[in-house]
Amino acid sequence: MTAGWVLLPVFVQVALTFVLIIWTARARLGALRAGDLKVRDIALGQNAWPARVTQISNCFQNQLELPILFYVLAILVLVTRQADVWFVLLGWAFVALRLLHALVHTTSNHVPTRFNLFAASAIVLMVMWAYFAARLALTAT
Amino acid sequence: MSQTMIFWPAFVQVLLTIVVMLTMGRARSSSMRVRKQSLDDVAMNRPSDWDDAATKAANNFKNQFEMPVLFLAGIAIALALKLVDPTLTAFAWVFVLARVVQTAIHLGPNKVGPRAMAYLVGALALLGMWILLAIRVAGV
Repeated sequence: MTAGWVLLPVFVQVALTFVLIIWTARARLGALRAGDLKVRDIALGQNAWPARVTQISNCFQNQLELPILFYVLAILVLVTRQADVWFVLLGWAFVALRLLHALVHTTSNHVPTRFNLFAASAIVLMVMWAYFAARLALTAT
Repeated sequence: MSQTMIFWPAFVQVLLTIVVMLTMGRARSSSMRVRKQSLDDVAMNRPSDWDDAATKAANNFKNQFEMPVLFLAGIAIALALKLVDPTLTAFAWVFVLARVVQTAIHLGPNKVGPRAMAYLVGALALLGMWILLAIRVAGV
């Protein structure tokens, strides 16, 4: 497995993050232009935005939580030359679940569905870390 | 060009985070002194527990663990795969300088318009970094 295969899902997760920050910025500008609130309402915190805007910015914030552990794992896999097909498949499973989670979060925001998708992605990530730890332990020199 | 050149903008980002952390500490202790609060009063870290200066500093500190984490991850990938080149390094410097400006505005006058502009410049530089990384990885 080449580094590119391990990194492709990483790039997709990063792309999702950028799509969400651009979406957040557009939604926030839109709310300000529509006069839903004043700039001074949000200068010291992001609590005053309308629900629709908060829904999108919360989803953006989420991408900077668990996915960080995914990035760190990808880097460790590359540096330690442990890349194999399982990291690629599990990486895609993680990112696919994150995409679905983001889709639900920014649309219906149905919390039970969101939770299930989040939990599934978290389990995939735990499996990836456990698999990496086991590989390192078994191949330790 | 030495691969390790790209460590320096990352180091500046880490220094910025530490400076903001220290600023936050000072602002918080001053907020508690002025408002005559004990540690127990602020243990839950509610928004209402802090004055504006402490809130701004804490907001900015939290900011340093958002986009900058993607920046540090991108740099780690570039170093791991020896993909550092002058363009990537230039993007990294633009990112970190934009972040320094964003923080200076945030902790100073906190004008939201200029703050958003500095944020945007940093975000675009970071996007440039990641697109370049993807292109380079695809070419590996």
